[in-house]
This record gives sequence, C-alpha cells and structure tokens, in this order.
Amino acid sequence: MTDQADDAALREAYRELLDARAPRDRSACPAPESLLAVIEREGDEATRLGTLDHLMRCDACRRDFDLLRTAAASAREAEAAESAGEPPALHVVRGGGAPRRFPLRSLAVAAGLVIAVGVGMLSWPPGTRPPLLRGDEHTVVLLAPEPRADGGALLRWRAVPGAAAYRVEVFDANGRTVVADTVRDSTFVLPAGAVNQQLRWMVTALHGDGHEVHSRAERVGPE
Amino acid sequence: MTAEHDTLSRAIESTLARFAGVVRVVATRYRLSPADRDDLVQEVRVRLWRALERERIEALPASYLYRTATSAALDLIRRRRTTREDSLDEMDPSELRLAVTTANPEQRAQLSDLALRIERAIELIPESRRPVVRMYLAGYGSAEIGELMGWTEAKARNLLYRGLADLRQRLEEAGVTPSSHD
Repeated sequence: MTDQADDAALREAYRELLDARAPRDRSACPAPESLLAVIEREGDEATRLGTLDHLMRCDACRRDFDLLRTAAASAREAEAAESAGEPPALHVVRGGGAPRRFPLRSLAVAAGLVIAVGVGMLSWPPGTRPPLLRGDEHTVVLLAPEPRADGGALLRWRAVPGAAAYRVEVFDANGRTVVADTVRDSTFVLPAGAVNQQLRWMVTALHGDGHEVHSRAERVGPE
Repeated sequence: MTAEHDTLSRAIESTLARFAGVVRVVATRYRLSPADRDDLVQEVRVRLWRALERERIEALPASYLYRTATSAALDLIRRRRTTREDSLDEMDPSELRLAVTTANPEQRAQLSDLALRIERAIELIPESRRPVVRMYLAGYGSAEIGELMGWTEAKARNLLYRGLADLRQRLEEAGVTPSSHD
C-alpha cells in the first residue's frame, strides 16, 4: 500500500467516526461568534486551535463553519474586485448636486458574472410604466404583471434558453419572503391575497449544471 | 420612487448578482451544500433590500457586504441551532438521552476496527498536534490549514508532518500497519 492509499484509508475511517457521532446535543459546541473568530483570526492561537479541534470532530459545527467562511470569503472576494481598479459603475445623484460616486465599483466586467442591466420601473397596474425591462442573455427579463379578474396577478418573464426551472421569489418592503416557488413554465400566478401591498418580485433561471441567471427585483402591487 | 432610489436598487441588484456568482465558486471550494448556499444568498438579498427600504441608505459602504454576509451567516447558524434544540425539546426523554450521547451505540458497533483505533490513537498524540491531524483526516490540505490558522504553508506542512508521524506511530503500537489498512 502506498502512503497516499494509506492516507485515503485513514480519512475514510475518520469519516466513519464523524458519521457515528450524530446526532448530538449542541450545547457544548462553540458559539457561532467563536467560529467567526477563527475565520477572522481573532483571539489567541490556542483558543482558535481548540475551536478547530472541535470543528474537526463535529460535523454539525463544520457545516456551520463552512457556511460562515463561504459568506466571509465570498464577500471579501466580491469586495476585492472593487479595489482591483475596476471603474466605478454607478453614481448616486442627490438633487442637483454633483454626482456621488457609488462605492461599489462595477462588477460587470468580470467574466462570467451575472449583471442585471434592466432599467425603468415596473409598477401596478401595468401600462402606466414601460412594460418591458431591458436585459441581455445574462438576465431574466421580467414582463409587466397582468392583473387577474380574481384580484391576483400573473407574473411573466421571458424564457431563458436551457433553463430547467425558475425560482420565483416575492418579498415585501421589509424583505420578508411572501411567496417562493419553483416552476417550469415562464409564468406564475400571484394570489389575490398577496397583491394588497407593494411587493418586489424576482426570478432566477436554474440550469441543470447548477448555473443560475437572475432577474432584477421589480415592483408589483398597488401604487 | 426617485431616480436615485432606482439607481441604488440597481446597484444592490448588481452586488447581489456578483455575490451570488462568487458564492457559487467559493461554496464548491468549501464543500458547502447547495441548500446552505441558497439560504446564504437569500439571507443577504433580504438584508440588502431591507437596508434600502427601511434604513434608507444612500450608498453601500465599502465593507457593508462583508458585514452583511457574515451577520447573515451567523443568524442562519443561530436559527438552525435553535430549531434543532426545539426538536430535541419535543423528544421523549429516553430518546433525548440517546441523542446527547457522544456516539450512537448502534453506529459505533458498526465502526471499522481502523476507525476505533484511529479514535484512540488521536487521543494519545500531543494535544497541540491533534487539531492539525484531525483537519487533515477531515480532508483539509496543508495550504488550507495554513490559511485558516494564519500560518505559512511551510509551517502548516511541518506541523502536519509531525502530527501524522505521531499518529502513525500510535497506530503501529496498536498493531495497525499501512498494509493492514486494506
């Protein structure tokens, strides 16, 4: 047996150990903030090693840790692109004053990234605003919602080539999800009960290979 | 709705799209499940929109995404732990006693001899080297260990080498040789 195969056998056996430890009480697990301290390298090394030692014996904590470090690393990488010298994408203009530079630089130039480029406002009822949002092949194009006789709304979007399904999400002004569903068609009926307040809706095209294409979040509901 | 608001909302959407794209890559790197990945993106999406709608922010500060993403993940973890504790509360006391046992006896009985010997061997190696050895056995390489601890890869490799040497020595003392692992 080679050293490599030997290590593979050891790892496989260790995997068995981890599986055998579930389920377990989490009261002895480190606090979520301790996991963040490891990621941010805060506190003394011995404490961080102790936390890591627990993580490597507790699958539930390791799942927590992987979630947290994915969040941290993703945000850092997204922010790093900003400081990499990319030109600013947006300016926020207040009143008639000088343009205010938006601190998040354009993320559009990075290859393979999804950018929502639609402009204009979609509102309820349809017809009072431009009904079609501009987009490109990297964007799910939302169409103007159609009111239904029962008081609900028909949400529609342009089909994305190759999409296996679409995730429809509708959330209120506080960011709470009102409706979330996955459909195969490029329409979704928002029930009457949900259309009594100002909402935002967005659609994500789901491809079989895990690739996703997002729409903008647009408004639907009473003015 | 002002043009300014609309401009900011487009910026948030762009940020979210970029963040979601990066998360997809990083989640694969860190072996995060698709469900956890989606939960994270959704939670960050909600928080950014909430900031726009409720806090009436004018622009996103440079570190806003990092703070938002990490606090969203912390909240997801707390929620997950609370849900799990709730489910434990609903269990029959006899079931609960089983649940808090470190290892499930039935599963333990099915553990391979090698797994049991590894468990014992790790407890015998110096405490300072156990985390590195456990990380390696859990699938982490020396570069990732170094990154997590803020060590150079050379230092991580050196500590790992010593830790694994300890482990192999303990295993050999327990009668486990490389050829007997098959």
